[in-house]
Amino acid sequence: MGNKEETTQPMVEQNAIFTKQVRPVPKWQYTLFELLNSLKRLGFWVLDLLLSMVLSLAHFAKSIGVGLVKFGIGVYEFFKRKCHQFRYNDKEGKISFGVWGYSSFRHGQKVNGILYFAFEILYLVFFCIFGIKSIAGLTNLGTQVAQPATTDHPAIAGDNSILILIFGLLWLLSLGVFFYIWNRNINAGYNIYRIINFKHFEEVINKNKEKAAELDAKAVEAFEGHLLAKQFNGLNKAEIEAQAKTFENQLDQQYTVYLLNGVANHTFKYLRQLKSRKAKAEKAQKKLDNFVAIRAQQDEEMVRQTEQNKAMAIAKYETMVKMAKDEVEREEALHKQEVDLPLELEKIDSKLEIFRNKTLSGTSNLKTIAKKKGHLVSELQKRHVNYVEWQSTRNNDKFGKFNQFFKVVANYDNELLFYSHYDEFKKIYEDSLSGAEKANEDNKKRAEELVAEKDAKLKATDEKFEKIYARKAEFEQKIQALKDEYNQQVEQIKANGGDEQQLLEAKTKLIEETTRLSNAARDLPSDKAIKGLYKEEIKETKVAFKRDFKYIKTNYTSETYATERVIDSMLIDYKIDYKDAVYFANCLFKEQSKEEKGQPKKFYTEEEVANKVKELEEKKAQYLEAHQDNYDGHPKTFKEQMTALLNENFHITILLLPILGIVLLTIVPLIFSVVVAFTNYSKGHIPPTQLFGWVYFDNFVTLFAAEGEFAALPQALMKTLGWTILWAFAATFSNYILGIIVALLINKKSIKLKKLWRTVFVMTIAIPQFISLLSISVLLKKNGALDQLWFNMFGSSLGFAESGHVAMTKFIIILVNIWVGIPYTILSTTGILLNIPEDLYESARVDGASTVKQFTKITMPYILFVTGPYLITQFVGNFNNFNIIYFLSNGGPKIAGAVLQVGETDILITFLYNLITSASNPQFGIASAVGIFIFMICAFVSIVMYNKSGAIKEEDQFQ
Amino acid sequence: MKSLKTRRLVGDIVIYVILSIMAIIWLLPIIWLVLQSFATSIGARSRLIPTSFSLEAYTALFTGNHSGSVHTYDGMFFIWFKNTLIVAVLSCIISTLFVLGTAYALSRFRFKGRDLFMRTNLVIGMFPGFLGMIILFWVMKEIFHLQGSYWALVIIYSAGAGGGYYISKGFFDTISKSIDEAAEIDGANKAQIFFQIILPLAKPIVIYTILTSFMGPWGEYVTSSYIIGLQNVENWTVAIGLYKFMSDNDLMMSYYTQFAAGAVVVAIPITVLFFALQKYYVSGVTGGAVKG
Repeated sequence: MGNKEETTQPMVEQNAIFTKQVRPVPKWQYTLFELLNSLKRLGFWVLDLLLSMVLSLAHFAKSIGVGLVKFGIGVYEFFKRKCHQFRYNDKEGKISFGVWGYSSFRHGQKVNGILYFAFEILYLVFFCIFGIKSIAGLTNLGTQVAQPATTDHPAIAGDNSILILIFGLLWLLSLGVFFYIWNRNINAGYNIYRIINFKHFEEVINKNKEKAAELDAKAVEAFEGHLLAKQFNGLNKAEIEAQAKTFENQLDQQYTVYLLNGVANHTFKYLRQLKSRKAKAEKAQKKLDNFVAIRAQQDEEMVRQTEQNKAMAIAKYETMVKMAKDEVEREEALHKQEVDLPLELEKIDSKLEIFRNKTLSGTSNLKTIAKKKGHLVSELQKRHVNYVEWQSTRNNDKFGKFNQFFKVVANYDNELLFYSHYDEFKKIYEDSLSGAEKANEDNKKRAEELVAEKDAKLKATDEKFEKIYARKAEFEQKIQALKDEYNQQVEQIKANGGDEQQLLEAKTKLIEETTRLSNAARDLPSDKAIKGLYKEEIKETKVAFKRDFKYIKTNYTSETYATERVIDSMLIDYKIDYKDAVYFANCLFKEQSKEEKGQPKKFYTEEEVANKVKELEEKKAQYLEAHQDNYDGHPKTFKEQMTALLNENFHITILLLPILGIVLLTIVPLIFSVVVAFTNYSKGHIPPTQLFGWVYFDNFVTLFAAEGEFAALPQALMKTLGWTILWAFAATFSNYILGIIVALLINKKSIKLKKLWRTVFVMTIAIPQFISLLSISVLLKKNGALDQLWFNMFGSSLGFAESGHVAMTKFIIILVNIWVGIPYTILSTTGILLNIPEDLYESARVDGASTVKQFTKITMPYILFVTGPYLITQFVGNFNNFNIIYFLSNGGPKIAGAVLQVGETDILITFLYNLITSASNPQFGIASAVGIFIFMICAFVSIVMYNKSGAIKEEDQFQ
Repeated sequence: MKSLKTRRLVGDIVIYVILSIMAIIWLLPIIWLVLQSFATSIGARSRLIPTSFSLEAYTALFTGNHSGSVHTYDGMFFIWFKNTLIVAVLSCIISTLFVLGTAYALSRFRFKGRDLFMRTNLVIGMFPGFLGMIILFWVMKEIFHLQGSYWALVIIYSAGAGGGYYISKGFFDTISKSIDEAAEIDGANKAQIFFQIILPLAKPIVIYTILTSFMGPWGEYVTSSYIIGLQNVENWTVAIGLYKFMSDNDLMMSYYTQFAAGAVVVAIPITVLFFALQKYYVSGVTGGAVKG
């Protein structure tokens, strides 16, 4: 079953590839076809868009669900962690759950402790006095309405609903801050506990290590007899031994503890895996009991089976090859061997090769073992990676403050290692000084070989493709010959005075033959395709050659050669970091041997080396002493905390004010505004003389299905929405396309004064938008200079932003937006245009593509691909493009009799602005609802488009 | 061969013609504005080129003596200009520090809440910016007691600036981290690395940030008009003032040439600054666009 698929699939692919070839058809037909094709593509695009909208919604819903579940899990994890922190903590840490900062205070961080405690007390006091009242006030936003002045008593101002709202919400949000700081205080206490007991952890780690080893042994025991388990065990032991050796020889104790801590982390994780594996192992044990009993037999069986499998696989392979050959022959017979299809055959061959390799190695039938092996190997790899990256982010989180320290220590270690083996390196260096010539020669030989190999390959490719061309030409000749023959025949028949029957026969025969041949011809790859393949093959060869050739050095001087040998030795024998190795070798050997010419001094003497080692050791010791407090069990003092704010905690210093600003003056007001959407804050409800209160979803109902006072609002909103979307599309795409065209014109090679043209356009960016827009508005409005000009020419007013001229106004706004927006597009696309690979154009030019075609087929797709996200932000930006509309037409002409003064050219954002700032009838509640509506549209568009462009990118990668 | 050459020449000429026409269109409103600022007659609005020229509008703008009807806005322009300069310079300094600091922290540090901050910032960007203005107005009035003052604008403009870190962060990301490491081993702390190593390396983006954070407040109208309010004339910025000049027909009659003069005065510093630093601005915009 599988075999058949393997062999037939390429043929299906071949048909799919070759039916796309352009056939010689009449031009009108071709145009029609292209037109229909474009329509089809457009249809698919729309369908795709709709589909991705639905998918995005589904995705959104899913991510909300997932988010909720994750939140739940997060809360659970949080409390679990708090319980853990309470249980494994000292007395002070436990007390500081209630009395904040107690642990910090008792362990030397007096300032922190006092601050925590003061915050707790002050917050609680203020919360009891003001907070509770304020939060309670949120329920009705005030009840005391202002009383007008009477003769008996002066006027009383009522509750200020907006202040009740602001302070209530602020207190509510401050509860979050309260819990956040509570949490920080607990974490601080726990961290102190951990730092103090840092040494104690060593014992724990060792204990855990023993436990892990025990379990490990048990698990291995359970796997005993199993070939792969044995292998695993061996590797494991080797690794542990290597680690132990490293620890003993090269590193001091604290360093070891740190490393072991890292190892222990993996061991803990591994422990858990081992536990589950142990359960599996016990299961396996039962099987193994049987297995051991008949092991010899089984081994034999396995060998036999493998042999059998091999034989079977070979047989299978042979049948497959035969089938493939048959298939090919059949095809060839079908096409009468008109064309060589080397590529298809190669595809089949490669697939067969893969399968053959699989079957020959016998893995496909020992599926379970392979699976197990893969699992174990990947497990090992994981451990290894973890071990190598013990400085990785995970450890960074846990040991952040230790990292810098150990990095420096490792640096010292490397240098020490270098100096302590200085003699050996020197010896290697001196020994290899003479080897450069031979290396050069060897490399030269190798390079020559490579060149020859490349030439041979290129030649082979040439020959191969020449053959293809020849065959193709031959085939075309055949068709021509047939036609000629037919013509001859006809002439002959005519000359012989033959009857129509004969003519008909000849014609039928010709038609039959030519149909068959032209059918085959259709399946031929086009010249372009062959050329492409040829180019690709040549390129591949060349790239491979370049890659190999690059690393062949034939210009070794004896110094560089010797230096490289020393680097090799450092890397391989002493595992010094690559960076350090290169540094040592270059600075300390190469430079010294250069000095040789001027000065007699060559290398360090033994004494000097000893001095260096001593010096380094002193330095290291000094460093260790100076930074002891990093890990010796004392929490940071206040002074150290302050210096940390300039060093490893610099991000807190630098982000504090910006984030505070964003949270307090952007996020919190936005939250409040969202809340305002659920109140009836408006003209009739302006505090403190009039109260406003909760109306829940009434504002949204008013927006979409109003009755009474705002009955006209839903219609106006929909009209505005329609124009907003139209405007956003028109503005985005007109700017985008025209901007690219202008950028192309400026960037054309033969055009001079590029800088001048660009400067002219950039000029409009330099001038503040409100100035340029206002002056254009003045020019266009009634009695403005352009309006007057228009009047003189056509005898009627331009009517910009006046009633009755809606279409004209909209058109002019879009035109002006082009004036404003094109410079930005020019600026942002110029860089991209310069980055388009030139060979794309070259090959297009070779193929005879016109300038227009080059633009639509190369420039446009490339720019679209690169600037996809930019286009989306532009769309959202235009959707909310306040300036243009407000300064140009200010929404005019006004819709006659419209409620809330909505204009014909108002977009949602200016509509919102008018709702807020209207002096006569501000509607803050409804405005906030409109704001949420705008947010939802923008978010939806962004999500859909990002998903879509993401899909496009993935597709490209896939291809 | 010859025909190909001539064809190319014709193509080039056509492009030159198109570009010249476009250049004229693009420059026309600006030239017109400058011409209007030197016009004398009140009815100059209807003509593309004024009939007579003088410096009347400029003197009227700064001294308040002019031939039209008298308004409260006479001679206020200098005060507005001063206000705008204070607001723009202060918020430019603060926002530049905020933006660069945020970008550096997000580029070089991995800390808890980093992703949350970046994601939240993305979502905030989709809300219409001035939706929060209703509340900000009350916050400024009741909590900061800055109602109708341009200091409120400084706070508002600079407080939210940290959210615009995208372009700078993209630039910092391209600076190799090994430079940081090398400095670290030499004993520099993170603050020194930021101020003494990264910032000098990131000169283009620093200048770009300074330029944009100055240009933003300089020509901003929406927030400033709402926060300062139409009754506090002496606290206005130039944007509010110039908009007010053009807001109704009566005012337009008497302030028309002054508007043009004021516009030129406002545009000059920013244009000079812009052209002096154009190189950096262009690199900023292009870099940002490519990164999306």
